[in-house]
Amino acid sequence: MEEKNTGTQPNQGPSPAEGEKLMLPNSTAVLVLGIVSIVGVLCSQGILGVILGILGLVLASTPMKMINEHPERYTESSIKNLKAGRVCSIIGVALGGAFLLLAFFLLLLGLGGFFALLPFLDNMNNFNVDMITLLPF
Amino acid sequence: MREQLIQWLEAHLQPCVYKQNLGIECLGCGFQRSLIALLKGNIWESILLYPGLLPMLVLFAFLILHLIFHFKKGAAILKYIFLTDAAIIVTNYIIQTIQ
Repeated sequence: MEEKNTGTQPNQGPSPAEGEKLMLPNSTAVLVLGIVSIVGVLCSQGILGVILGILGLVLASTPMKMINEHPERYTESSIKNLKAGRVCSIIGVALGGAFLLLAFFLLLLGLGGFFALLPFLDNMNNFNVDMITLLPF
Repeated sequence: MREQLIQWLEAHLQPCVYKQNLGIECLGCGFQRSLIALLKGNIWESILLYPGLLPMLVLFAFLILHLIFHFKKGAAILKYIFLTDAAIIVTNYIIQTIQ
């Protein structure tokens, strides 16, 4: 049975006929990665969340371009999966990244007490020495 | 089986790196105690310890079901559960830190 093939163009891959739509590549993987990235918040101190989220975003980048070019060519469900997974990845990266930044900031402030940066203002002679002790972090 | 799992978990509780070194709790603090409480059957205690755990378990269960059965609105539902869970975790963290 031939459906109407109005949208077909030569040399442009498969036709968008109903029932012959393709699954987007990586759509399921992006969804799973995005949702699992919230586990990174629980254990591994947010690092795992950032890694999984960025992996999800990278995997989602090519299919997003494919959607923008030919949205009619792919199945509805895979597009939805991809977009939901992308949102979840972004949130996972944001949560993990925000907490890592906060921890990094507190680490800088908290070396030898919460106001360790203040002595720099008092005696500028020791400024360079103290900066070097900070640097490894 | 369940008692063994609970005993093993209680014997292998991981200390929080941030709480030890920086003096602040992390976003996941309370999760292990909450999981143990849930395994013991104390749902309310689990919610009090870490409110984000139960929605997260629902999220994963629904993710597996969605991957098997391909629900029509599964992706949207997953997204909203995820957003709700993230909001609960962040709110709980802010409240815990302020107190």
